[in-house]
Amino acid sequence: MRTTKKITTTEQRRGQWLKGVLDLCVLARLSYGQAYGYELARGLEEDGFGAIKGGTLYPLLNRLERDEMVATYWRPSDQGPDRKYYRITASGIAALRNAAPAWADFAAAVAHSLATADRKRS
Amino acid sequence: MNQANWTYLAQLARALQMEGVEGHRSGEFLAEIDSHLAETGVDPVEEFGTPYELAAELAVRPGARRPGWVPPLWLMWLLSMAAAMIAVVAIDAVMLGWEDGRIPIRARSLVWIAVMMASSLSFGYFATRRLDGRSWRPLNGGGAALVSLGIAVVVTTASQMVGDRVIATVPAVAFWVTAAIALPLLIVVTARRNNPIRFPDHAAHLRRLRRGIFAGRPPSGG
Repeated sequence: MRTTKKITTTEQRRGQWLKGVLDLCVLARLSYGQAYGYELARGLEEDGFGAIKGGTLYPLLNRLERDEMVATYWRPSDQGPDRKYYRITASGIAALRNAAPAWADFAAAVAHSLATADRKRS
Repeated sequence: MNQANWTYLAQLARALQMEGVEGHRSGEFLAEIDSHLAETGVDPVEEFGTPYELAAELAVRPGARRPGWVPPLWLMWLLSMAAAMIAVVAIDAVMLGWEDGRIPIRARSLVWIAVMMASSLSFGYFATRRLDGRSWRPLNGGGAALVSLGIAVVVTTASQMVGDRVIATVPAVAFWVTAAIALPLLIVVTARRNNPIRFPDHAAHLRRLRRGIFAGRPPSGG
């Protein structure tokens, strides 16, 4: 029972972290290749982010498109309806370049804080 | 496409319209969700949440709404009820005439108004609750006929009970001026609220989703 609760808490925390950086992860993925929604979700899962639900991914892609971070086009698919492909724009690349060092600083600060606490406890 | 996916898309179409999402954006979004569901075969509610949650995700962001003012639903309802009230009293006045420059408001007109308000409110409540679930189906012909018959029976019985006694009068000039203002106002507000979904050319098979919850069965072979 306690283990289940612990796992849920960790998953919830991961979900909260992901919410803050998913747009960057999507832009990062798109910076080296165009992709459609489901393809992106699988790619992010391969990157270790776990399963990204469509209810999270598509509204995010919609916002990125509206903010002109990504551009879209439709391409026919031989497996069913046409697919909407996303490719990163110059604004998206600029946003990614700006955010990457900021995220690295932030992640380093968190890692430092946790490592210090761990060291002082032991 | 299976019925569950089609119903989900139809509910989503309705929810997007209610949220005021631009028609072309709604069309693109529905086509994209359709493509995702066709490829993955996942359960739409498990993957995307309820249609209302998904539509709200799209609408709450700044810029997702259409430029300009979109009348809220409550205003539409209020204006529709006011217009219906005016119409009921006006029909009565035209059929039976009026005297001394004053339009009579009869008890039976109020019965009509009460029934209209009650049925629209209860339908709104019913539709909202069921739309959020997964099993909503519009009434079939027989069900709609039964409901209409029930309303007719209620109105006729109540009208007989209250009779045609006049309970109030209003100045005829003021009444007709109000009627002349209310009708165009309702038309303007309805036109502003109207936000037809525009699908990409390749998604022609989804066009019936414009009818929202009345989209019926999925297209065969779609």
